[in-house]
Amino acid sequence: MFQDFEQYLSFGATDQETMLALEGRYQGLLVPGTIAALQREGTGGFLLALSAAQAKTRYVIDPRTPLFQQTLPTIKKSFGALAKILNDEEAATVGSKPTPEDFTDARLENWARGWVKFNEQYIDTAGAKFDKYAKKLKKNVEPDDAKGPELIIAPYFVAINDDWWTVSLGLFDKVRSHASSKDVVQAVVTESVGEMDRRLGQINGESAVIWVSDFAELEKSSEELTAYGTLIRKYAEAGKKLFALYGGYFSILMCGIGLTGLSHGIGYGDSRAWVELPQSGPPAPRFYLPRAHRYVSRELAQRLFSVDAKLVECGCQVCKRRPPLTLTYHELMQHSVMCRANEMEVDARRPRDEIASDLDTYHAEFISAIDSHEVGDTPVGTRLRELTVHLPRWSSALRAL
Amino acid sequence: MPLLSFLLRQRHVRPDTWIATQLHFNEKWIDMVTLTASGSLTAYELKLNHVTRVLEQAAANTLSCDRSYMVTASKPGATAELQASALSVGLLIVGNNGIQRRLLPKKQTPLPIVRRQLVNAIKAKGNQVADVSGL
Repeated sequence: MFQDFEQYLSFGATDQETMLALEGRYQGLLVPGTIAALQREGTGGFLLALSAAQAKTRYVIDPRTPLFQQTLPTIKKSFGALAKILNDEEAATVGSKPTPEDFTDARLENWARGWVKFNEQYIDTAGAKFDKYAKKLKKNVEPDDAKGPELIIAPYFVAINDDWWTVSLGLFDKVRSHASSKDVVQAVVTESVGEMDRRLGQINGESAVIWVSDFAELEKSSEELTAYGTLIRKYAEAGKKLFALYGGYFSILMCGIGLTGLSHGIGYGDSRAWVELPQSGPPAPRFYLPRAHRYVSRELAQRLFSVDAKLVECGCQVCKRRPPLTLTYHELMQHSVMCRANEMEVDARRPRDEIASDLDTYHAEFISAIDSHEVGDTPVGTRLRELTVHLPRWSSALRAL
Repeated sequence: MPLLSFLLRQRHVRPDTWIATQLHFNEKWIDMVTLTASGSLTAYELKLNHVTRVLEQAAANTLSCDRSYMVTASKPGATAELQASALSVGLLIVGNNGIQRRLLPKKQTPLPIVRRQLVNAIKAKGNQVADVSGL
């Protein structure tokens, strides 16, 4: 996580085919604690087999504990499973309104012990289905080569005020005191970039995973993006190693100025709000548009293809420049991961002013192609133009950094 | 259903034509879609108002069907008609005196794989006109 240009994929139970097919094109997996707790053998077998394979894929379990900081309208099985791991089944209660005062020293102690045990013993308790996933990999992997989680992310809460932040700090200290065989890293989660700056200034460790809740790069102003980049650079220059739990293309570019890496979902997950959604499910089958560095519906991607195939051009080995509507679900997912891997391998290392120029050029090409096409003056043309409105904001932010 | 009666009278559909309503296809709902015995696919998007929305939906259907209509309760403005024409979408207007075909759709050539998927979806979820029109 804290080497340079690290790309992790957020693990989802529906994405295993893509993760297996593209082994080696990403460095690690970020596994939600809820999934790791609920599907201990299935997910565990998968992770251990991948970790034993040639690419030695690393993985880390994200505790996702802000779940227990909010009023939950329903309790999914996975919430209960996570609470059990934390020795605190009452945490997963419908309708409760948790406060920082609820988290007594004894309760934090229980959480810390449970979480450290879960991580340190993961390799022993989660390997029952190793053989099944080793066969799926179609490679020679040995159980002895399997690895446990790369490090432990301490359970955390969103720093919505000083009291919650204090609880998070206490949890981190307790987890660190219990962990004997693994490094422990602190998660710093805030609702704004300014608050992130303040909290990062209060931590002692040299590394942290960060998450600005709901920081949707596509919608942020150039000033907000610049502030995020400035923050990354400030702490990188101060010797802090920061890894973003969520991020899209703009965050990938921030790896060029000091972010060590980031995690994103397959087909989704460039940002996340900390308040839990009432329902979740597999990502919709969207097309990753390489030149706009974003997901779009297959319908709009196909429209762009009709306007000018160059607008959706991609050099990846999956899509092979086929019309977007002809790609299967898994091809769409694999195409997105290949695009993101290429962005990390190439763009994150390029000078920012060159990238900014490219973004401006692409934006101008999109607008020109759409305006001069017969759909340009229709509602479809409007929708197509909206797909690139973020590009000038991104280029402006890159030039300001 | 006035629209189906109209299509039967105009011989756009026949008793052996397949028809599906509210069909979920490619992450969208198609209000009505027909598949004739000769294999021709035509989609219909119905809205009393909200011309822009119905036009967008009908335009989306041009990617999977040979012909796509928007069906509205009033005559849209001249701009909307020009837009429908630019998007190859036909226009049917449902009024007190029946249904009027205001604009013919341009014939499309959907991608073969998409066409095949839609044909399969219609046959899986739809019925033949004879079964739904009481013929």
